Amino acid sequence: MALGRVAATQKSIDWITFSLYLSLVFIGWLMIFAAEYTGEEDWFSLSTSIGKQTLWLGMAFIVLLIVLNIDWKFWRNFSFILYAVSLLLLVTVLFLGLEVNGARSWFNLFGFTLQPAEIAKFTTALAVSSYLSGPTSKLRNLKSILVAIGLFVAPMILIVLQPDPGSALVFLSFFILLYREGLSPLLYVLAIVTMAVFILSLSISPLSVVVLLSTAAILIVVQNLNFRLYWNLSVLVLVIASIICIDQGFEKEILFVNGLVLLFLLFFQAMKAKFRLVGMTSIALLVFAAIAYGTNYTFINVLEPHHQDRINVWLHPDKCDPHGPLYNVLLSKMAIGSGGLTGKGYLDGTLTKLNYVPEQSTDFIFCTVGEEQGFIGSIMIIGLFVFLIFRIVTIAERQRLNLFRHYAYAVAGILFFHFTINIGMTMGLLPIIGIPLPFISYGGSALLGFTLMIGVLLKFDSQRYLN
Amino acid sequence: MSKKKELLRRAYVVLAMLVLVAILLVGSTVRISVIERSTWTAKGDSTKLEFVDIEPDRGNIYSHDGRLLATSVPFFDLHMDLNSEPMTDRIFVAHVDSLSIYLSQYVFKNESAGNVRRRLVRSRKAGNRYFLIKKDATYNELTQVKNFPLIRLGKYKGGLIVERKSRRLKPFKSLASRTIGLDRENAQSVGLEDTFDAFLRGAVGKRLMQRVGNGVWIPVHDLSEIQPERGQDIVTNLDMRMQDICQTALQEALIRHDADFGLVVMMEVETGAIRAMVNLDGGTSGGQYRERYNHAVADATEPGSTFKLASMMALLEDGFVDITDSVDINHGRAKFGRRVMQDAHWRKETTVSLQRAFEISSNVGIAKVVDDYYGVGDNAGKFLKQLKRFGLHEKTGIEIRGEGAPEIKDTDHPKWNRHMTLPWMAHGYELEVTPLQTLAFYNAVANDGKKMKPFLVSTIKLGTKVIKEFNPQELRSKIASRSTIAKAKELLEGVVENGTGRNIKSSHYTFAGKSGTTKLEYWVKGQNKYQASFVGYFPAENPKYSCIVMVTNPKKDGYYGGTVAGPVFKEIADRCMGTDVSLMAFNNNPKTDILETLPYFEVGYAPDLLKVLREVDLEFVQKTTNDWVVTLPAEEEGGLVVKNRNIDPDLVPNVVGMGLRDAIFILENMGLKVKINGSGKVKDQSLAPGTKLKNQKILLYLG
Repeated sequence: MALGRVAATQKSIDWITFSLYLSLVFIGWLMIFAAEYTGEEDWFSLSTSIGKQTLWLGMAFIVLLIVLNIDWKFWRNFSFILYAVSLLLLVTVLFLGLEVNGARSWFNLFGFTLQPAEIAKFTTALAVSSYLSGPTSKLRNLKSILVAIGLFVAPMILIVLQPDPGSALVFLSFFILLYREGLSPLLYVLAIVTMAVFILSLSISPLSVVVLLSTAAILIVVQNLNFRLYWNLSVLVLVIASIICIDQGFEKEILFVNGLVLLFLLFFQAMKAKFRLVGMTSIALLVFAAIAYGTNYTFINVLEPHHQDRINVWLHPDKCDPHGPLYNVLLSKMAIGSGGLTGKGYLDGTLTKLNYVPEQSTDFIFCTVGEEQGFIGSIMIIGLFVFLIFRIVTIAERQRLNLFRHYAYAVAGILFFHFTINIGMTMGLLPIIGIPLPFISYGGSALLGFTLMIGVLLKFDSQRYLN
Repeated sequence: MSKKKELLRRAYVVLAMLVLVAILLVGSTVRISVIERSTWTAKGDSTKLEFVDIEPDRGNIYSHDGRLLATSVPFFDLHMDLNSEPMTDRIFVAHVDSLSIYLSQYVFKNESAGNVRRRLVRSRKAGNRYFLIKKDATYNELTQVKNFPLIRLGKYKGGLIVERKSRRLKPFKSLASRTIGLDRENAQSVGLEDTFDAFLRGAVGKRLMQRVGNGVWIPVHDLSEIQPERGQDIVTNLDMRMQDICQTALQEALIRHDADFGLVVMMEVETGAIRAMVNLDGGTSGGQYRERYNHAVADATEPGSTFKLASMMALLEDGFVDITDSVDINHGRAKFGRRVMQDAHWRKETTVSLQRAFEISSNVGIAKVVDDYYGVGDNAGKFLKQLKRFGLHEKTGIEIRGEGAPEIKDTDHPKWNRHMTLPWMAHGYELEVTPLQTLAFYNAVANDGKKMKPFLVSTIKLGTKVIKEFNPQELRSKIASRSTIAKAKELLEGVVENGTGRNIKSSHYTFAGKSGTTKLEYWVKGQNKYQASFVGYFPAENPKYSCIVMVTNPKKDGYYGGTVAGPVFKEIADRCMGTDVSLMAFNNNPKTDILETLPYFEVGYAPDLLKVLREVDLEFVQKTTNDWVVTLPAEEEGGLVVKNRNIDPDLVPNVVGMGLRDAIFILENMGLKVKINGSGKVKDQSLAPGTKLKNQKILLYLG
């Protein structure tokens, strides 16, 4: 046995991350059992979900051991080959995959299902970070940016074709890495504003969004004036007035007022020859107004009906048919809420046990925690995740090699995305996007994928004093 | 340095985002499991929650003529959740007065509005979530209540709880009720309701219900999971008009003869579709005959003389006899083995033709011939083989549970008696068949030997969409040779013409059939119980329906098949002939070909003519591809060839045999002036074919 080498690495792996990983995996194992529990499960029988998960868990640990024992350079040298293999798997699964619920996302191997998308997250993280740390790439260079984005958009497209848009969205988390590595914040601001306009247009109305945009434009323009504080205070009054008017249904009237103010200000600025400011503000206002009005069209014509449903459930739960798409969220909230402060106790979650909540052991595993372990259990899980991600960011920042830092950020981003979306949707804060809660949800491929991510991270980190 | 600082700042931004999300998620958890806890706990307390089945609407059963035979009528239990969450005090107070007025006016008619209001207010205070408004409300009442003040604010604010139930209704009451059947929870279902239950039933839905009191459950409004699926409808072959005719005729006879029970089954000859199936039992209620048991399908009994047709057909089929052969009936008395066989009456004749023996239903006559030919050597097996060819040993497979199995003894049967079994079988004893099986056999004779499976259901539908169709099925494509069938028909027509059915002969139309009088429980000494039957088909020359009538234990006014069951048959046939348009004389002429000969010497434009010939499915040989053609007899007998009709552009053409339109088209195109005389096709033309064209006038004689 290569005990000596294990010992050598063990000295320097990050025990905090490792214990967080272990606790989450162990809690997950218990929770899956609780979710599937009907009273007569065998923990190790391969015909049940829990038995399969136990086997996957064993495999994950073996993989972890192997990862910790092979040279870190393997991952650097083979990153693109692994990436290419996973892309190939994503292509093959489109043709040879097992069709479940209309999507071809799984390979069926002797009764075990493998989801290449889960593995692709890991290999893409390796490939993107490896590319970014290469000698030729610099994030100030447009070509490098585009190549880096292309690296994670490629698997995204293949996964959308399955179709599994939830898993595909996860790849957007690489933008967190790109941000940290210096991609212009303006891009993010634009993206966030566009998203906000989209969501607000759907949840309130395009006209109201235009009212809000007009106040924003005024706010930007007044920054150039003297007596900025007074101007800002006046704009604040205007913002409050606008919100009240929107609430009371006087959008047109207030828009008229805002429009006059804005026109006056723009004219004044134009007089002062600040054409750039005037031009940019006007164009931005027009573009976002167009987006606001184009939202409904996009919503109806681009999104598929069941995706529309999910957004409707999220934004207008009161208008949704509770028998239909709202059902999951209601039951999930009910399970979490009925857990109360301390929960009903392990294996005593009645809603969980009776299988009221669909996708109980996969996407909605968090409500098993909520019901059986109560508020305290939920907070603990959230705490563990926050701590883990925090820890990974810290690890990232202490790396000397760019590759290591990039990779750590990629992993942090993926976990952050999964964690936010999954728990957010379980509580009805976000639309239902079917992605698992890392380490906890049932599913071998996901467990394997996340274990690989953490394992390689631990290995990289253990080599941080390298020159 | 500043670049590094900038990047570090970005790391903080990422961490800040993490913290923000964490706060959001924790806040949300606090909201759900601490602040809104009581709401969710109440909803999620599964000791008070249960999935309850929602019964789907059972499918309807229709008759062949589109009438509703069985349907489920919904009715509703109406309650109000006076403490539903969206029903705030403001809303309740604003509407309770008007609601009370409506309730007292339309629902609680004996209660003053003030009183109703007091009860509502008190119940709301007491936390009542299941305030009874009306039990067993009809759909109309439900719609009315839905429009009441407060309730009309909607499912949540209004608090109306509607629970749906249903009741099975048969609009035709007793008519065919046993065939339609019963769907019962605590006993075996019967009839079509039983057989087609899988289709009629639909799929049960599920709904989450919450317990609010002792044994009281209300639906958790916002959480109903699976909607029930409506059951499918079945369309039967039963024709309610015929069912009515059959039932009325039978009932009158049962009363007149004071019989125990009776049955009629009527079948469409060509398809085997059952158009009527009546089973009437007297039973205990005195005089009232009701559908209680499906005797027609279930009772396998000794058929008696109606079985003689099978015996005769076996003899004919094996070529042992012809119907003109004679037999010595010895005044209607003979001894087989140790037992004496007698006809119903003493006969003055000794030797009669076989046809006559059949017509007067001589037991001795038929038994003797059968015994003579099949009683020797191993011939008995041949007789049984013929019966099996007729399919008399097998069930018909009708779609109703509990069809009686026919019993026809084999020669190695322990009770087979070498001397007696065969002669008694010959006239319908020592074997058992059900009335329906007998009918199916007669139907096969009427249908020129093709034995159809009797069937009750033609279509399964969901709404207007056809889910499944049942086509007529052949049980046997040919039960006997053509000549045997023809002779069998002659025998059956003879029965009505000269024999035991003479009394019911009709002058308007002809029908064919055979009477049967079975002595029941003949082993009990001194008991005279009979079963009178008549089975046949009408109209005789082109059978449309076959029908069996059976009356068991008639106690008054005779007991013979010909006099008890026969008149019922006639009554049914009369009324069917009188009311069924498809049976009226003008619709019922034997089909003749409209063209007596092939269409020779038809002249016309080739594409048109060929199209017509193909359309009417005539075989012909085409010998030209020219535009204008003529049909001519082929060299071999009965053939048709299409040959060229030559039209020379410079000469006057031969247009004889053409239609006027074609003729004018050709002639005027050549510059001729056409004059016409008469109507029809061109019979003659004034200018001889082949004359040089010079813009002449031409006169066409049509006819």
